[in-house]
Amino acid sequence: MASVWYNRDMSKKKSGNTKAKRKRREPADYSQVVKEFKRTNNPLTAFSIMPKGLSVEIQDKDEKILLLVRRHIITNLKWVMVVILLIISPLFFSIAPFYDQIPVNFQFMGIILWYLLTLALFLEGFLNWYFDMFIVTDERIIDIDFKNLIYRNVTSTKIDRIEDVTYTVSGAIPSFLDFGNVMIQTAGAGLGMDPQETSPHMEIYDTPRPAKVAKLINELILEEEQEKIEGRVR
Amino acid sequence: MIDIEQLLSVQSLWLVIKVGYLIAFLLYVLFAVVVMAQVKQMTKTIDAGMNGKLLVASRLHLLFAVGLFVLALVVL
Repeated sequence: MASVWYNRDMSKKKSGNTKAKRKRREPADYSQVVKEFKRTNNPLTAFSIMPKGLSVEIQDKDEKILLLVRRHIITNLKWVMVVILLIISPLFFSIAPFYDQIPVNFQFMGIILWYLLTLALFLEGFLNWYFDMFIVTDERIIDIDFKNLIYRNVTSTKIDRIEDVTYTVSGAIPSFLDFGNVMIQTAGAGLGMDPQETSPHMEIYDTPRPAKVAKLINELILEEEQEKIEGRVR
Repeated sequence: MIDIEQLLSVQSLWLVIKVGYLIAFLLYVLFAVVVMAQVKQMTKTIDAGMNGKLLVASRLHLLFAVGLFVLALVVL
């Protein structure tokens, strides 16, 4: 018991002496990935290192956002093609044999309704892509799932709970454009994770530069361990 | 000689189509309300640099949808 008090006392003295040393390091001091990329102001980017002006509701005061990723922009191609087809298709309405028999006001409102449907598809596609994001801060990873307009799920896990990070790039287009999936295995059951699963994990789909995302998370795990060793844990 | 029964059936057909159109426009107004609510909620959760623009756009979109519903009532 006495040795415990002695150790606590010693650690207090130690903390006083090394106060300056225990300041948190800047991300560029320990991360090659942060150093490698320039910061961007573009709110529509799919891969952004230390994005300017980004903040999350659950973020702590001195927590820094290091990475924002969305699905690769090419994954939007499917719905963009559908929208383009829907935009040009009213040009061919007049070919339909019964079209002339429809009163003009019904024709007019029909075309407006058609374009509203197109606008709805565009809005859903865009908002699903824009709000479905994955964020890495210096303390945790946050996965914001925005599958459709009536479903959203926000999952976060502390960096020190991450056990393993793997990434997969599969297929010709993903290999060529450098995008793929990153799987992050965490210890125990985390927030928002399926309790039935034996190995709780987070998965980021179609992320640009998956190797860099995995590398940054690994760098953060190492930094977190270093912080524990040096007593810089918040 | 115009067949009254035939005329009535054609008129009631267009009435049914008109109601269908109005229901479709009304559904779009509901969709616009859902979009606005979700954008509002998501911009509270995260600020990714376009929050102001998205909020304004979602409100204008709702106004636009209501305007088109009124236009459909007038035109049809």
